[in-house]
Amino acid sequence: MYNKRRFDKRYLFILIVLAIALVLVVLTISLNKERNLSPIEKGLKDMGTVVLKVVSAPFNFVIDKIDEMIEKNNVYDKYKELKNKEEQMDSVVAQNENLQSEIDKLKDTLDLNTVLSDKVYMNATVVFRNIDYWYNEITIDKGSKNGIEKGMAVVTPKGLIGQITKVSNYSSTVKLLSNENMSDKISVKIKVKDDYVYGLISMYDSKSNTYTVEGISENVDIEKGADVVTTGMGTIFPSGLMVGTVKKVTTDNFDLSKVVEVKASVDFDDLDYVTVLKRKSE
Amino acid sequence: MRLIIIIVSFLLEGIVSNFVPMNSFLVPLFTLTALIMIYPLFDEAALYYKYTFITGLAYDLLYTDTILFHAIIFCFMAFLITKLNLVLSDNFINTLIIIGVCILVYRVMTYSVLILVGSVDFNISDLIFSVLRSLIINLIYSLILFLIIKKGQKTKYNF
Repeated sequence: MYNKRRFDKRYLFILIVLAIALVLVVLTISLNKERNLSPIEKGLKDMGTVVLKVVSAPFNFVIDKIDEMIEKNNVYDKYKELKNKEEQMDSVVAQNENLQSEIDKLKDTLDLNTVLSDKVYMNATVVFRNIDYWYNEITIDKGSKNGIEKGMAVVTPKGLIGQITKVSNYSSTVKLLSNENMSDKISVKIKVKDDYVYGLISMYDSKSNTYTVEGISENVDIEKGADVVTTGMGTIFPSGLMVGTVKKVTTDNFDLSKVVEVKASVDFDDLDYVTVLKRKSE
Repeated sequence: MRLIIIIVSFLLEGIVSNFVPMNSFLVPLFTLTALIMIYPLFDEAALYYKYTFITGLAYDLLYTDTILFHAIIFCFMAFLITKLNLVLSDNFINTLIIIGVCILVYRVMTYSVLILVGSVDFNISDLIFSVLRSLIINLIYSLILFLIIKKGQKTKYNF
């Protein structure tokens, strides 16, 4: 009787350890960032996304109406601002055409099919946001059937917001740059006079909505307010995507390199419609 | 009616998340709150666990792109809810205590697993903030559910 009880206890202990190990293995596989969704998951997620989109439609309608009313109060200021911009439009268009023809000529000369800034646009609506600290993701209503692929850059008119991490048939998940544990270091360049200095985004601070850019030489003078854009190198992001503007410049603990605090150009709370960018392949 | 409460809470969590600012103290966990609130409406524990597991699976599929992660965590939460309900009597103050404890345990468990599998780096302030940020709105939501359930129990609806 005594032996049997001891055996039972040992058996139970081994069983518990095995169960915990099994659960951890399942969770490790399940939480793997590189994991692709299975066809069943894709189907169910698409169905859920459609339901969520339909259910949230009346709420979105009300919110849009409230925004519209608020916008109407500032309509005269907006008109003046737009009129001002319109006057500059002709010269900007002419400048753009000139630059585009120069790019085309250079591409012909160098026998290049694509450049780092070439991209294709796809618009999408945000269906769901996961605002937990450790997820920071949004779900959009476009998927592989619409040409979305894993790794594509996602932007708003104000700048870069993140990257496609999971793709279903008719919906996709976007990992936001506001994720404080952003594992992929993003290569960026900061405008200094007529030249650029290169660095890497190392972290994001949600309280101040700022990125920290590291790896910049100590000898460079960076002005406050300078634009920070993607380089198109190292990562899948095309070049020239707005990331933010320089807020503060300091040096690291050893006075060997500069650490730049960059104010994000995007408001991560206001993401209703986004654009997915695809770098043009050769 | 239990099913309606779960489905509505599940969808409402998705909808509210779209309008809540990212750093606010209004992070909804309506699905978990609904699971806590509907526990007294179940006669059989096995059925409650089934509801919890399926809800967790749906949560995994739609909201977090994981498999079995929330299904397992929600089942553990169901176990905790069952034990807490054995110790505490059925009134609103005790329900608030259960919700507070469950949110704390849920956040600690989620964070621990994510650290264990290397998805996030450990930062104690993130964990504390995530618990604090979830409390207010979910306690308010539990009050709404409490009133709905009590009213439903008094009327002809079969809870």
